[in-house]
Amino acid sequence: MSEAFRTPGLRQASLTNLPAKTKITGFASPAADYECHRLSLDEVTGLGAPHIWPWRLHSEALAGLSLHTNDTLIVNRQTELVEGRIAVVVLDNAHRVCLVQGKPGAFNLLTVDETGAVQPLEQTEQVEVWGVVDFVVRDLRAVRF
Amino acid sequence: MKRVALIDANSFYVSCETLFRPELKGKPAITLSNNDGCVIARNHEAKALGIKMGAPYFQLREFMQQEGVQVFSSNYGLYADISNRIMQTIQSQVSDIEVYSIDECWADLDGISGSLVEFGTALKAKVYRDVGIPVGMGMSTTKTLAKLAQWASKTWKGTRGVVDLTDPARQEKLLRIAPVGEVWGIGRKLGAHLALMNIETAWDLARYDHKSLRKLFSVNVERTARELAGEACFKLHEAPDLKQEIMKSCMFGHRVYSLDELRQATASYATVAGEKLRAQQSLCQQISVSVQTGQHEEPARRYYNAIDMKLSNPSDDTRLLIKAALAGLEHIFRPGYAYSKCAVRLTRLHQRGEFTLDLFAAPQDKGADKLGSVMDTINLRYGRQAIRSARLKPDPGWAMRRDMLSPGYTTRWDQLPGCR
Repeated sequence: MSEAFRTPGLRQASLTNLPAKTKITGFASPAADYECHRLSLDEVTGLGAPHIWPWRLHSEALAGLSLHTNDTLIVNRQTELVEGRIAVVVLDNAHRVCLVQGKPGAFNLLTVDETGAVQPLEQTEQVEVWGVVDFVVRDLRAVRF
Repeated sequence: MKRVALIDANSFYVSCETLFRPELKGKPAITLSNNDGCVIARNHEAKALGIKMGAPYFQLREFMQQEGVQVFSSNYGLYADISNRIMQTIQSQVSDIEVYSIDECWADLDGISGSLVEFGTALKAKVYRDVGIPVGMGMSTTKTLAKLAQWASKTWKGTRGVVDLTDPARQEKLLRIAPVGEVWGIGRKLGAHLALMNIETAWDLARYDHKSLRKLFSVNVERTARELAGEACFKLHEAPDLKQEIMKSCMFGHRVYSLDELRQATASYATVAGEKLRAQQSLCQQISVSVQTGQHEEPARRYYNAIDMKLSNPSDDTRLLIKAALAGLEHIFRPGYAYSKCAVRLTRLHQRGEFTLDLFAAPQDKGADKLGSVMDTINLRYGRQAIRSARLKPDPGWAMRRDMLSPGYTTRWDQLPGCR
């Protein structure tokens, strides 16, 4: 099966920075025609594309969904918001992260605490969707389970 | 028929600053120039308060505090990143773009079918959706007409920021009411000159005898008039000539008194100039250094001096440039003055293979070529000044003052925008 178009795409910059091929002086490698690009997290997350923005989470509002303080959220401004997705929204002049339930036009914005309790986000004005969270990057080096 | 668009971001610097500050929506905000000197960008609300472009910050500080104006230092790292995002987004929708400035680009509309206003409105919405920055655009058959259409899109709110000026009848209508000073490449000074010849509107200029314009002014004024008349004279990617000189200068964040600090600044500017020199693959044969005190010092405390240092053979070796610049600085430095600025200028630029070597001096050795390119690659890969001359300090005291600098939201992992 073709590998084409299965990810958001390799960044052009990473393609141009590929190391020069090592010169083989003896027998030509039988693998030469099958060489692939190295795996890249940019390729998976789309980081580097103009609509992809990394954010930092500063709360435990979605701890019940395993999103924690200091997680890096990869936010996509192009993704269509649908039920069950996590979004960054502008609410009362602040950026909040929330779980979205319901239908377009009548979304419910929810938090899920560490016990799994679901609470609606209190809102006093119209909400603007900043972007939809596509990926989470977490540094586990300092974490002890 | 060729069609081009001029797309520009609205109040670009301020729009970048407010992208991550929703509480500033509807409130006045401005951005200041280097060293927090003058106002260089204002949002709609700041304009409504009567804050003028170029106004010195120190004169307006109190007024701005009273009015609750949010003030930002220039965060060029942020602006460059957002600008790249806008350009990438536009590029994905058209066959070709030419970046004109940090917040403006030309777009080739070849292959776009149907209504241009619909296309423009959709592109405007896409840029806002992907990047969060409002843009406006003018579209027409020549660059000059497209720029005038973009002026119209800003002037008349009813256009909703998108104007299609490809129809000759609409072109005539706009040209007849557009002051000649608003035409791209004319400006106020030349506009006043033209007004003396009864050329007051863009229409007057378009109808004036083109050859006379060339004789009286320049070939560029003639081409501008032809473009207004619908004849394309400025093509996309008409590359400007390679720079004939490279200059790096900046006001210090505070007054500098010591030779040592001036040496650091000079070495730093020579390093940056050297990077630019190598980027255009030129070599330079002369490096000029100048130092000056503030313009507002008393006459007895004012000092300016400059010196040209000639290199025996053209070079782009940062080490040699720094050495020559510092030797020049020793000659012109006088103790006791409060220096506000120094400048490094590289002149007598040559391309490789286009000059005669000095018979008696050693040419730049190949190792220096390699060193320059390795340093540039490392700095590109690991960040500016990852590798640098030992003369340079990473965070010097004389560096540009930016007291109200916003975070590097999109360029620093430790300063990402946060949500709760």
